[in-house]
Amino acid sequence: MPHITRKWELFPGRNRFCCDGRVMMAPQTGVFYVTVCLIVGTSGLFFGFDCPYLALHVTPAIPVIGALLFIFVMSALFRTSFSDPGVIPRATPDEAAYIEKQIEVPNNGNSKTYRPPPRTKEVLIKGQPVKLKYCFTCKIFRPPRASHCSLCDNCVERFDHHCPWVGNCVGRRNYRYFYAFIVSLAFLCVFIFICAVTHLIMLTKDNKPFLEAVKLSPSSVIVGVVCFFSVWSILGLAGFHTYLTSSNQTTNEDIKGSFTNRRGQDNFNPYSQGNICGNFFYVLCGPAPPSLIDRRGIVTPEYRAEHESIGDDNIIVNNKTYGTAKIVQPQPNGTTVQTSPTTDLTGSMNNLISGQHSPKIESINGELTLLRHPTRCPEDLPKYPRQYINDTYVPPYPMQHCSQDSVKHIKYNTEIDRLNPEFQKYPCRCEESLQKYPHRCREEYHRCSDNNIIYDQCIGDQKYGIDLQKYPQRYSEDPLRYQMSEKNGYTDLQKFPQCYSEDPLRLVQSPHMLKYNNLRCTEHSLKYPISKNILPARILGTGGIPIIGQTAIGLVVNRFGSGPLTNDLSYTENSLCPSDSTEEDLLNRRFIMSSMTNSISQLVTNEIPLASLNIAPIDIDEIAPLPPRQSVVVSSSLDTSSIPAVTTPLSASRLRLLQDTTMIESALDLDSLEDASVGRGSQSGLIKMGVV
Amino acid sequence: MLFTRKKYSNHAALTPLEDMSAGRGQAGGGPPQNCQKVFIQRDYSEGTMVKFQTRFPTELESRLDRQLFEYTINQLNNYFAEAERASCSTYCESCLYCLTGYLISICTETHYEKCLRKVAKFVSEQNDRVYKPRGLLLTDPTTRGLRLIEISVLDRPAS
Repeated sequence: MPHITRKWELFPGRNRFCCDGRVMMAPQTGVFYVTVCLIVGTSGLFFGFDCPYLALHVTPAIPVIGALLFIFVMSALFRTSFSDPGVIPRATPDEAAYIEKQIEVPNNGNSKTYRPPPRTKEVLIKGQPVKLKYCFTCKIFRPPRASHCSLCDNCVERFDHHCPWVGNCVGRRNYRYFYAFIVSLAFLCVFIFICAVTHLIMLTKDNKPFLEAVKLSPSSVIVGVVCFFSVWSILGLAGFHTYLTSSNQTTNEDIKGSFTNRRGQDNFNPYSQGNICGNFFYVLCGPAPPSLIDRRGIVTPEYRAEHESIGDDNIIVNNKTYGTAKIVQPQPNGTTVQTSPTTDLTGSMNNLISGQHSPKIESINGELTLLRHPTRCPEDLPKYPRQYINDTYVPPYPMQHCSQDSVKHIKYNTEIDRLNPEFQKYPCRCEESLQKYPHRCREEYHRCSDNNIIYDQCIGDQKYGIDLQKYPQRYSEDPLRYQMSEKNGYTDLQKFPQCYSEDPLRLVQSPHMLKYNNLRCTEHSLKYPISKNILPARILGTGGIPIIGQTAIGLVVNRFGSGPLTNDLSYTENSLCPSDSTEEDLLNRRFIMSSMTNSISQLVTNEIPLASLNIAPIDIDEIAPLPPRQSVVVSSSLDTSSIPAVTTPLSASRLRLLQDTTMIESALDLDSLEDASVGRGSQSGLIKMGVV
Repeated sequence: MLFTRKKYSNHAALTPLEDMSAGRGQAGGGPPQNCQKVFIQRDYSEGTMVKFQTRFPTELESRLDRQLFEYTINQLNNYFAEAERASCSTYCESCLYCLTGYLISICTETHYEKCLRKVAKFVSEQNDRVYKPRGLLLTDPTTRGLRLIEISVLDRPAS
């Protein structure tokens, strides 16, 4: 007979199955065997040595009662250990996709209002609000009272606790067995203890010293000692669970204090039946829910296909929701991007997409690629400074080349929006084509800018105080989002979500953030205050790349710019220390990303390699005169009509003043806002400076 | 096909759980994958007992009468309510189980499982009478962990 694959063999949790799926246990069962040995050993000693004497001298009922109790204890124990505690099967791919779609906030093109999907859902149960958490492993919103067992890696209905002594989770399906086990074990324990002590006392009664009695029946002593020490904990546990049962709570809820009154006045247990008896009956004798995982079901090809696609889907969904976690990780092979960006990037995109081709996901993956780049650049710069600069700033294609086939390049431009490094490689081409076909480009840009929204927001949220100032509450509300700075983020997060909500400090410490926020030269911060030019985002655009200036010269960043709907991200560079540091160091330190919000004309600046040409900074005003600036807007929303900052080389003294005031202030502000989650807050200070 | 044969053949040789799984299987082995799916979520307003929302999904408006849909959902809700009702017979059953050291449950079927069998029967009957002629397919919620009812729109591709 051919081997029939049953569903337990494909079960995604970590449980152990025996007897072809009939028995289901936790992955670690060592303590369970200890429990069994203790009970069986002690009872064996009792039945072997105490029972015959007591049956003879007291009553034959003792072994009978003992045997019944023992059988009941063992069957309850095995029932608890070997049955399904109420595992909730994981979502099918369709369902997971549906939930993802549902919790995704519709993005109406306004990047400032974009919020990542909330990971909790609130429902009212008998008028009591209950939060349903999203389970990242099972891809479901956990039903009320369910919790994810980290040891078994399953969501368990009415999760009580994971009990290593019985080698299984205790949940909705086996709680009654567990309770029966605990209570009957308490009885058995007390019974055996009393019997053992009675045996000893009866032995001493015949005018024999106690030591003689011990010699006569040493097993009674052992049994008595074991029972004496275990009976207290068992009795305590039985009492505790009696209390829980009478109030229809779980250990989990009791520990968390879900229904305690300190949370609010009208906090009550919505699952309670109203009275103690009702709760007792309902919990212990209520309807027995069936197992939902169908362990012994036969795997059909459809089931297998579905199951395998869950595995695939995992990658996508993880990247979709947590892809940003990858961003902060250093990329060891940064060179490949610089030398052959296309292959590397497409490769990574393919990895991310993995079979699914919904445009949404594709675009998000595109953003991920884009996102990854800024972190990579500064790191690799010291290693490959020359290469980088050459690739970036020296136009590999002569100008006239571009104008010939510029239509093609427009298409190319849109690609660039997503695949940033490519753009950096060929800035002139893009600029050129944009100038020729500004309208078309703009259209393309708008299309792409939608894709950039999330990217912008991610960067902004992750690193800068601007958004923090605007949405301070967001951080406290959505602790789950902090997985961004966690390298192996989400499993941990899931297991210890409260750590994240309680400890915001933990969330900030991504080394990258701090590094890039360090805008000052550490040595010369006061002596050579920062002079920087922040170009209007419209002009700079996303693909900007800093240029080293040996003097206090700002950079100009390339890229066509008009995207009235977005706040673009621009890298701006400032020259800090004229002498000491090497170019690489400077570059490394001075990647500044500024998020600015403007709505103006479609300025196109042609990028000029300042470093190589050693010319003065480009004044944007010359290229395209702008109306005078009206306000310092750091946290302006998208549709404000604020005017972009203009390249204004600031004098040293003025800058110092600014630094002393604005910057420090803002740093303090930000720190007080959210525990320094912006690094040193210098970023926002610089932005302010830039727009002064 | 295997399922159905199993279901009606040697009943005694099967544990209730196995038998249950047989009842769950829909002829043909579940809904197809690449089609649009509509999900009816759980309604937790009255506690954790199984109850599904009766809000009519807009995706089905062109396919299905609201009354038919609501009848199906309400009927399913009734079955589950009956399964989870803390009635006297349930208590007696559970007490009996408890007194026998939960050993008797190996060879009998609980009330809940009987109700789930009814649900499976009802779902397949509804599929034959209402849903399949309209190009829809109702999935037994038991196969989805009682989290939701899945309605597949067979001739619409997955969005």
